[in-house]
This record gives sequence, structure tokens and C-alpha cells, in this order.
Amino acid sequence: MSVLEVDDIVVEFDTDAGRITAVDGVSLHLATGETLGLVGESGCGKSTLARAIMQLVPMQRGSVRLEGTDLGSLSRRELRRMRHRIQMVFQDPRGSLDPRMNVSTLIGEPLKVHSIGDRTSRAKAVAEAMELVGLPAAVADRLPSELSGGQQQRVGIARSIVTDPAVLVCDEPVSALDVSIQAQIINVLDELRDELDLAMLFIAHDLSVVRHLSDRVAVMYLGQIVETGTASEVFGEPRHPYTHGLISSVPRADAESAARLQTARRLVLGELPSLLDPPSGCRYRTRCPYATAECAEAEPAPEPVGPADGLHTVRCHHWRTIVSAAPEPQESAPSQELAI
Amino acid sequence: MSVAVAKRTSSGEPAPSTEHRVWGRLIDMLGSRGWILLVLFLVLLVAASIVPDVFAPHDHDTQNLRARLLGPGESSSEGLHLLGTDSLGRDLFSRMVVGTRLTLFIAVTATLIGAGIGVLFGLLGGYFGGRTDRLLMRLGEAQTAMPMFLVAILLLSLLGPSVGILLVVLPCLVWPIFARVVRAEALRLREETFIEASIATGCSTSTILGRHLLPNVAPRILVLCVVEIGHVMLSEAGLSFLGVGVQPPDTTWGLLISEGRPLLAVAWWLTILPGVLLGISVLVLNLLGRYWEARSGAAG
Repeated sequence: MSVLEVDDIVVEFDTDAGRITAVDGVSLHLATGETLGLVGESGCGKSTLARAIMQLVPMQRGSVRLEGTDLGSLSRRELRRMRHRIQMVFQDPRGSLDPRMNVSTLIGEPLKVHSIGDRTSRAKAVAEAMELVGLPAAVADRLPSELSGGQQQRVGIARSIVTDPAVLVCDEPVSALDVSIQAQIINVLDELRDELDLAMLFIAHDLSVVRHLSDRVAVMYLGQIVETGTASEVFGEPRHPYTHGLISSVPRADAESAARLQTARRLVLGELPSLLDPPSGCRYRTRCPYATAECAEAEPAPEPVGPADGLHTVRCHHWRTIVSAAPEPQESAPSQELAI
Repeated sequence: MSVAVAKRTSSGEPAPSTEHRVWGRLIDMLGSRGWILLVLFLVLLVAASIVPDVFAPHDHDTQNLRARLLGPGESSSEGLHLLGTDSLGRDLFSRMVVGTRLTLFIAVTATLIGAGIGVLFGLLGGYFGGRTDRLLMRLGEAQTAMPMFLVAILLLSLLGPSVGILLVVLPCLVWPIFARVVRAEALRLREETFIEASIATGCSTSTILGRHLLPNVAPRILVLCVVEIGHVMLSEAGLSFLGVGVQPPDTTWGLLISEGRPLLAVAWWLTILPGVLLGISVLVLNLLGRYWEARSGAAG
């Protein structure tokens, strides 16, 4: 049973240069306790998708169902009351905290605005949340500017889980942090997910992080999901040339590293095209070494790959023929990879 | 302090105008402790308006026709008149002390009312933008474009001068200033992630305006209040000088200046001394406001 169902979302923006479609028909679903990793380059629409799911930007089409309720059909007030069930962790830990509120007020605010509990039970919930995310009680009276980046993000996470939400949307929660802190924050999220049975949408451009956390993975390119499947399917047998290129581009300390980067360069050519004027047909064709005339004419539909359970899908006309280009088997020790 | 001011002007803000440079230099001259003197002066003013009897050597309303128009420092049978006496022989210093209360009361109250309106409009306009913003800001511009002083004179002469009407007219002069400053801050703040985070958390609009935007603009509002109290004081003095403000037997500094004007040739102190007190007060309020602004600007 899916706790979050996103169906065919389209988000368009007016910019000075014209209208762009930042998210173009994205569907995804999340079950309780499940983590979906969403990866893609900067500017591919990941953050916009997160904001659309959170109902922070208007959608031109599509629906978001949270625990069976269509968020788009709610009035502003009803939507506001639903928000404690779906919360978000932001990319910029410092910017997402009100600079004039102290830590305990910040963490207690969601409870207060949703009138959950009374003063004493809220104080208790705040203390518990702080402990869960590993914040010492001594920082309760500090302002965000007096905390380290890692602590600030812990406050952001505590804020987002204090109302006991069903769904947590994490928009690149570690990319603004020092590498040494990233693993700690990932571990906090990892533990919380298990402890609170959260459904988590985890957005990142760092594949090793996504691989460590995710049950399933979706790869996004220019506003569309080009490949999705379980983490082992997508990382072990990537079918889309873009996914393959992304995986090969992760630097690793081994003998084949140089060869893999060569593969990556071959698979992902040049720059991300402009959203103002997306390529016809397959969006990836301008950078794809396998592109043919067919790719420019027809847009590929998501096709199921392999086993009939239908979880692994890919949007490519030629995935059957380029299957042989699959990379070497991935050794599975993601946590070690993180620790490096 | 000089470091703080220099840092503020060199931090990529638009080149300071001559006016700003003059204020900057004045603030520099204050040094690091000068602001204590400013605060002390204000404390004296407030004290004088709360317990005028402690400061006034004579009864402000007792006439003494044998001691008319004594110059500063001269004495009558009642004793020394530090700043002289007026045409009815009343002690000028005592009258200035007693006038402090109403002067301050009108200036502070009118500024607070104007600030209240301006902050509300500024927050709404800046946060919502669009039509609300255009409506509120055009309202402020229309009002700024109107010669409010003339409108005030018209109103006060139609309805008869009273302190109550001053408290309606004077806030009209200041609210657009508050609205503009607060709107600019709200426009900047609403793009901050923490406002988006508040919406995502489930805060209502009133929570966002009252608990997130307002506390973040509060320091600027406070500074502006201090400066604007001085300006309102001047406007009140102007209206009282023109005879449409405070009426005798109530008295304010502006009214004292007005009463002394016909006698300027024979008794300069009646006009000049209350004027100097008014001038110093406005200067002190301005300096203090700008000093705080410069300091918080450098710190944050």
C-alpha cells in the first residue's frame, strides 16, 4: 500500500527567457518504510519535483496523494492541516532555519502550529527529537548562527520528524555539508527511517549516498524519469545510457577507475541542454552515443525491463541492443564507500 | 566604531551619499562611548516629562508682570530665571520642562501609530506582492505626493485644533516611510528558505508574518522609530508654530517657539532657546538611531 502516490506531475515556470517545463510527467510511489532515491544532474528538476510534492509550487497537471488524500483537491486550510504528515528537509541547513528562533523553539514550532499536545508534552517531544538526531541538550537555547553546519541540519531533521510524519522528503540534505559531516547526517536519516517507519524520498546527486540509503532508485533527466528500479537493479544492471554514464562517473580508488571514467565520458557527452528548448523525441539523444534518427522522432515510453514485476523500467528506444555495454558487477559495500 | 562604519560602507552597498557621509562622520565623532551621552539626554527628557516639578525651578504658569521679558540669567523677586522670562513674566526654563511631556507624548504616540500602520501594510505588501502590494504602495505614494502639511492645516482648521487630531494627522506623515522600509525587508526575507520551510511545516500566513517576518524586521523598525520620533517632533512644532497644533494653556516646545516669535526682536531667547532644545533633541534621536543601525549593520 503506497503512502505517497505521485501521478504524472507537470510543473512549468515562466522565466525571463520563456516558459520552461521543469518537471514533465513524473510519476512515483512510496510505501511505508521504503526509501526512494532520486538522482540526476543539477538543474534536472529534482528540487522542483520535491517542491511540487510538498505543494510549494503549483502543478500544471497531475496529482499527489498522501495516505489516499489528493493534496491538490484540498483547500488551503485543509492542506495546511495535512502538512504534519509530510515534511521536508532542505538543502541549505542554515537558510532553512529562522535566524531569530532558538533551537528548541524551531524544533517545537511544527507541534505548536499543528496544536499537537500541550506545553509540557511538546517540551518532552522536542527533547526526544533532539536526542534522536543526536543534538546535545545544551544547544537548546542557541540560535542557528551559533551552531555548526552539521548541527544546523540536525535541527532541520528534528523539525521535520517531530510531528511523526508518514513521508519525509529530503532535498539534497547533505550536499551543503562538509564531507566529514555528510556520513553522520546520512546515518541519522538511516536510523530515523527504521525507527519511525518513514517513507522517504531522498534526492541527491551523489550516487554513493543514494545507493547506501535507497531501496529503490529513480534517475531523472531534464524533467523526466529515465530509469527506475530497485537499487540493485539500477546500480547493478543500468539499462539507460545516462544511468550507466552516471554510475561510471563516480570516482573510486581502484585499478579500473580510469577506464570507468573513460566509459562515463563516452556515455555522457557535453552539457545539459536548455530546458527552454528541450530536444525533440528522446531528451537524452543530444548527449547519447547510441542516438539514431528514431530517437529524434519519437519520445520513448517507459518500458519494463527483465522480471515481470515491472519495477525496473527504462525510457530508451535502444535499451535492448545496448545491454551488452553493462558495466562490471558492482561490489556491494556502500557503507564502506561512504566511510572513505 | 569607526571600523564598524567603514566596514558597512565598504561592504558593496551603494556609494554613500553626502548626507550619509555627514552622518557617518558625526557618528565617528561620538566615539565608542558617545552614545551613552545621547541616551543620558533622552533619559533626562523622559524624566522631565514624568516628574517636571523636580526639574522646574518655578511654577510654569505663574505670571509675574514685574518680571516680564527678563533675559537669561537675570533674577526677579522669585529668584534666578536661568533662561529668562516671557511677556507675562513666566519662567521660560520651567515652561520648557513642562512642555516636554506633551511634546514627547505626541511625538512618541504618533510615531507608534504610524509605525503600526506602516509595518502592517509593509508586511502584507512585501509578503503577498502582486495586487495587494501595488494597492498599498500606491496608497503610500499618493499620500507622500500630497502636501500633507497643507492637508493637516486644512483638517485642523476645519475640525478645530486638538491633540486628538494631531494624533490622526501626524501618523499619516510617517506611515509610508515605515511601510517602504518594512516592505523592502519583507520582499527580501520571503525569498529566504526558512519562509518556504515554514510553509512546508504548516505555518499559517499570520504565523509567518507575525512570528517569522516581524521578528526579523524588528531591529530596523526600532531604529526607524527613534529617527522618526525626531521628525514627528519637528512636524508637531511646525503645526503648533502655525497655530493649528497644540493650543494654550497646554504647551509644547513648538508652541513656545510660536509664542516667542512676535517678540523675536526684543526677547530672542523665547524663540531661540526652545528651538535649540528641539534641534538638539532631533539630532540626538537621529544620531542614536543611525548609530544603532550602523552597529547592527556591521554585526549582522
